[in-house]
Amino acid sequence: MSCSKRPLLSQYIDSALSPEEKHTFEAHMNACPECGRALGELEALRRLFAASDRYKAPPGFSTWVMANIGADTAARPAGFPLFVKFAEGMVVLAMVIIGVLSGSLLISTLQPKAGNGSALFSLELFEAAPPDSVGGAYLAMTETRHEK
Amino acid sequence: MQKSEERELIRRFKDGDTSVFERIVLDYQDRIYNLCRHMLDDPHDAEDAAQDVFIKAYWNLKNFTHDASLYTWLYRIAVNTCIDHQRKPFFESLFKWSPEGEAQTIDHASEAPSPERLFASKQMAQALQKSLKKLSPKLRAVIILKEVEELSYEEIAEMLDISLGTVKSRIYRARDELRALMKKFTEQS
Repeated sequence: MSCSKRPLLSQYIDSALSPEEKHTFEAHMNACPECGRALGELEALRRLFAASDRYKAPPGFSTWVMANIGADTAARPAGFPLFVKFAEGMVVLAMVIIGVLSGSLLISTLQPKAGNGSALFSLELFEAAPPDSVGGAYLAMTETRHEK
Repeated sequence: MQKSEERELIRRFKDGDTSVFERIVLDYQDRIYNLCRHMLDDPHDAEDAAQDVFIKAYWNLKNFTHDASLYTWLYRIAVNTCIDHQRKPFFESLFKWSPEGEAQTIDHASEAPSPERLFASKQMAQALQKSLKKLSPKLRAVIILKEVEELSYEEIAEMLDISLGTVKSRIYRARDELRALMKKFTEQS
């Protein structure tokens, strides 16, 4: 189980504790081997960070940035963001309208016409054995035999 | 850059003299690139992110109100940009080139260490980079701002727009997680 005072360790190494808090925590550390060990590890971590590389921007970085800004400026006419937002909105609206219209058109073409509506969806429309099928040929043969 | 000089540059920029922006880039490019490089651990991603930071800054500088310093403002953009860069689409990560080392570093060594020590320290530095990568972007941001950029709790709070208590607790959690991860890495090697 970790010591409940451990969160103070982080502030201790950053010198962010008040003098009283610091004094109390140092007294605690003398009696708590876990906090003592954690302090050593955090100090080692801090040294590692201090020794870590500091990187410089690559040569010509600012020129690239300014060139990109220049290209971006040329691509953006005045009032660009507002215009783009408006254009985006119009495109979305147009897509919704096209979607609704084509959907309603599709539904209207599939809808049964008055009078033969029930026939359109009737199972009688479906032939169990169409004349051109093997089943149809078999039925035709058996029917002619019966007739004889 | 002096505060008064900074104000004057921003005033000129707002008046239409956009050429002064290059001065701002030159002044902050190393600090911003260094932050991005530590946040992203890839030179190309860091360069892309740093460029994005300045491009965003250019387009938003007109709205800059001097509530925060320019440097705080740029760092805030940089942290958010790096967090966004980490959410790259999967296919982009497939084609990412991963180089070994980078030439553009500042040499800290004042005396030549032994090859064994150099190897050990290089291993530890790599373990730190790997451990940092495992932290969540929010924890990584606070620990880099604290340890690499050496900022105060107050500066970090202002930069990230979070409370002082949140900064303290995130730094504690970041250190605790890093300590555990470093232990794991050193035990494995």
